[in-house]
Amino acid sequence: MSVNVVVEQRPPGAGAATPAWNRRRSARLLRSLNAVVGRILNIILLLFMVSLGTFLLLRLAGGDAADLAGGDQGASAADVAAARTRLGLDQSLVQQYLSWVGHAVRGNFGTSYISGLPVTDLIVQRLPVTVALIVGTVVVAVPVSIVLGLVAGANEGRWVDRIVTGLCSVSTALPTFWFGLVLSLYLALRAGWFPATGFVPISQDPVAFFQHLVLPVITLAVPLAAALTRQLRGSVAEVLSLDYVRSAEARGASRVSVLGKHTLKNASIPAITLLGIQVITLIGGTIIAEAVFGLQGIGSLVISAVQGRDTPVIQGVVFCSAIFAVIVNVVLDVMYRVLSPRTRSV
Amino acid sequence: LIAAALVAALAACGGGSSNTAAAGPPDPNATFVFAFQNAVNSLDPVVNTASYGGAFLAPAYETLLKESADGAFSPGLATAWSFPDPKTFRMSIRQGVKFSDGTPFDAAAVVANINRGKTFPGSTVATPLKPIVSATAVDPSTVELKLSAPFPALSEVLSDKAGMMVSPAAFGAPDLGTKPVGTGPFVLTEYHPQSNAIFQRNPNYWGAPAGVARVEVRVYTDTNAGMNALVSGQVDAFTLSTSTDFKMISGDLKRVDFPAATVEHLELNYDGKFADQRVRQAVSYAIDRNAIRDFAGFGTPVDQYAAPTSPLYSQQLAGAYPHDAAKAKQLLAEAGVPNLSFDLYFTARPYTQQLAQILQGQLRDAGITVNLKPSDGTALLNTCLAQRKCDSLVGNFTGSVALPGFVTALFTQNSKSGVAASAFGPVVQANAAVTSLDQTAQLQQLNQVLTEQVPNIPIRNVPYPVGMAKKVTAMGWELHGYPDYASVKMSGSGS
Repeated sequence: MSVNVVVEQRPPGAGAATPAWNRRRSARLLRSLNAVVGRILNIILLLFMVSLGTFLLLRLAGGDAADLAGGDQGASAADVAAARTRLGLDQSLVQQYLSWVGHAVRGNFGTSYISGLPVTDLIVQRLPVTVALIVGTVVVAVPVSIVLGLVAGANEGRWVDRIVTGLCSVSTALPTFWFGLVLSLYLALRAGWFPATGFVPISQDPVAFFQHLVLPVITLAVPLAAALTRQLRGSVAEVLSLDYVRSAEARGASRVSVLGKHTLKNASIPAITLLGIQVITLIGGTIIAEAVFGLQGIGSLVISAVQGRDTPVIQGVVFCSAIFAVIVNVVLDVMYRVLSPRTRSV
Repeated sequence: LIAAALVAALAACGGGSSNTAAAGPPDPNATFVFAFQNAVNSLDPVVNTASYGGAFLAPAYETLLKESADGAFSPGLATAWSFPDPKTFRMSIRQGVKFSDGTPFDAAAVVANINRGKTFPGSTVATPLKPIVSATAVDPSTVELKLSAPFPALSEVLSDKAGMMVSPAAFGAPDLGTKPVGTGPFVLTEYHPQSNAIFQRNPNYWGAPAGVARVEVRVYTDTNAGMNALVSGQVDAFTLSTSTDFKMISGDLKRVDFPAATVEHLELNYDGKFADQRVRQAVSYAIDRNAIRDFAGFGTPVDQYAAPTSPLYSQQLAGAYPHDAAKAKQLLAEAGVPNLSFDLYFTARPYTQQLAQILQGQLRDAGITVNLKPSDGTALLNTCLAQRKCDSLVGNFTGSVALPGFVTALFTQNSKSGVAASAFGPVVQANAAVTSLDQTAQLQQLNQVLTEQVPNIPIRNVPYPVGMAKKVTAMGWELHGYPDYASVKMSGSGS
């Protein structure tokens, strides 16, 4: 399948460009350009709102990093005041925020109040764990849900459908932390098939990398696959009842070809929307999976940062998550265009 | 020598291990992996904010003195010490010691470290070092500290992070927070902040070489994950929290209870609702300590200020506050607050959360309303109480002979808030009478006065139940809750 973007084709048979054709082309180009610029402005506005929202929410949480100056001994008012000056927390909120924005646009998220280490380093160090979890989860959940969704949708109301739907209901309802603990208890501790905790970088030992990922990925992939399967099953059943599918079948197209070529493509659009939302919420899910399986990813970083009111780290992580969400959305848009020509002119 | 003595001493009080018959001979090339529940912010002792920070610092850094659970002090980088007069402290410095960067360790290095601890911007050890007016290297092996007032807690201070010696040549290094340069039995080889730290045996260590070649300290903030790592053999030792954890110890694992002077307590804002001694006593009577011990599954109920491990522990004082809801009600009525209601803050960890709920139920029987206030950070809570913004919180203190340190901390906080300690005249007097930790009679008197005044409410002495692999054949345990890494020995064959 080719990706048709908005590129104007000259009308067939037309010789040299007529002034009218040129005008139409410029108008369309301008519209596309407007759309792209509008989209970019939207993203910038979104990132700005997210960073401002995080900044203000942290203030509402009460306490700041200076309160931790005395460590476990507790800090006196004087200690806290001194720490506040040292960390720049005595400046006005506007100044603090603007200074953060000023550095962030240059890719500098500052240094952690608690450890004094650059926020970028802290995030980069934790990123492989979280990325491995998210990618692994999607790679497992998507094919599983396509197969199950097609099978169940094509057999609506039959026993296969009932089993799949039942399994999906149960899996969607599984609390992540409980499911993770159960997997760890039976498959790691009792059976000893997989390591119970930890992470090994793929560069260090590829086999151990996959072994360590199996349980956390299953923990996250099962509820995701369940949600996607339900969505796909519904849309597949719906599309299968549409006229064009019925006429395709009447024309003698095989069941497999009907399912693969005609049904899946159209049925997948709502599922992709759901996948986008789910992938973004997976960032939250990884926090739980990281805790249960003792992984040190972005989730554990942000938890300790929140406990320490480590504003630069929290801001950095939330900002990166927002960028991740934006990227996912852009990828989704491209996929819509590929799958549904109706959206191409938007 | 000292490590060996410590191992022997700890083995005698339940440490080390006796069930090693199945284990093979010690493997000097072994790696020991310790799982720890908390991360630390920095590997620089004066930046590190955690009372348990030594778990990550101790492999590379050594303290001037060492304190054990019974409150006894033994030589560290200082070989001998004394108070020639109550305002002077004199130490002999160990000779022939070098930092891992080759810098010689001497009296000048000690002076430099003490001054750094006092003056480093935001130093977390500045408060405990405050009574030191000046530090002088009398000669290369002698350091003299001048104090603004008698400060018996000094030996305890020098046994903790304030007494950890950093190479003066590394003071200016921007990466000191991630690359320790000390004299310890190990040197750091790899560090992933808030995740894990890997050390290897220091080839130039001045003392007996460490029993294992490598030590890894790994963070498991989730207790279940830590237990799973222990049970599946990914880590060699983990501190157990509850009786549920105990049930998971079988097969290749063993449980060793290390004695500790740690006392779980209710810390009170005695400038506020707890200003009246009768109110504090009422709360103490309202607590059923045996029920709490039974729930936790281990430990010893205490209602005095010395832990049962301490030589100051008094049999006469034991049971000073038996569980008596009627007595509590009567005291509250006398104090004019028959309907006492207060906020109880606690960190949202499973055990602490349950303890807070149990306390809420027990105090309800005495007509006291407890409002539970879960919070997300210990340090924030301590600041809240230090500044007298909270009514009370669940915490720990060390009930050893180092009581004066505890009292000083209590009233340092008090004076920090600008409130005079006059309400605690008897405690302040009893504390002032102690000018050295050798004065057993004065220290016992202090314990007694504290028990009468109850500035905070002791609940339970909490030892450290540690789950460990049977192949760990020897392990000492430090006062603040982590292994004496140099003393660890592991057998090669597993078990």
